[in-house]
Amino acid sequence: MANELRADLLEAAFRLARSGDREAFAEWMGMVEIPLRRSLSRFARAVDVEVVIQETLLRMWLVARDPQRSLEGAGASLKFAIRVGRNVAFEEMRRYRQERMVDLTTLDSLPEGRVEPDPPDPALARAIKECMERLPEQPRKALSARVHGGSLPDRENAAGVGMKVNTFLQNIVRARRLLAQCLERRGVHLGEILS
Amino acid sequence: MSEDLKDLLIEEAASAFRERDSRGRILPSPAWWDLPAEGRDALFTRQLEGRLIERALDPKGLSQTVRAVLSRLR
Repeated sequence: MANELRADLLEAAFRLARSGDREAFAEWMGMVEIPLRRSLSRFARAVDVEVVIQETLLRMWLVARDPQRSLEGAGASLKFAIRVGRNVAFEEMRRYRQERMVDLTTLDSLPEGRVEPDPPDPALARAIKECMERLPEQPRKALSARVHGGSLPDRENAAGVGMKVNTFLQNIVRARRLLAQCLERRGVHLGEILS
Repeated sequence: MSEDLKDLLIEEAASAFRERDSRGRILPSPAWWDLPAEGRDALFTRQLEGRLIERALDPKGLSQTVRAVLSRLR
């Protein structure tokens, strides 16, 4: 999909979210999550990036619902989200006194990086589904529980598939390794897609 | 720290689930605190890959991070 079309879809979803449309906001989050995460790579040693992403997306919902705010221009909502993300990362670093983990001068001068929205890729989704189906039963059950219930505590997901938490985590580690090997045999390298 | 233990901590912190404090502030994963610097780098990559896999397997193409945020919208 061309970058301009992606940017148009992104801003269209954000405009709909302004009227309170949660499905449109979910679609918008789906397109910005990966580029937003990538933009925070230099903070990974100093903050829990998952916290930063969730807090940033929640703040972007408030921005979307604020009639006083207007974001104009191609990819404006993603660019703004990346700035909010960086601010949240600095707040987290200061709150937990983790500044020593990163070079603050470098972080302050970092360019914004790639700001193209990133919608789901159907061909990649097919390959992942096929490789998931080939996993041995226990690792597949564990990874599937995490993939579909990842916003729940692991103790609940583990109990749901009849495993202790430690066994559950060991099975996910094994599943990820086997899944990556299966994808690589099909010429899919997740690391390259995400770089 | 052994590689096996590091792997388990990374996997624990790779989840999108995060506790909240009494004011609703999102808290870092307890496993994140136990990870050494290079383990946190590895966690960053695993979270990225994990969200890509979740998106691929979700009927609506949403990651668990997006679902966690959706459940908190007011």
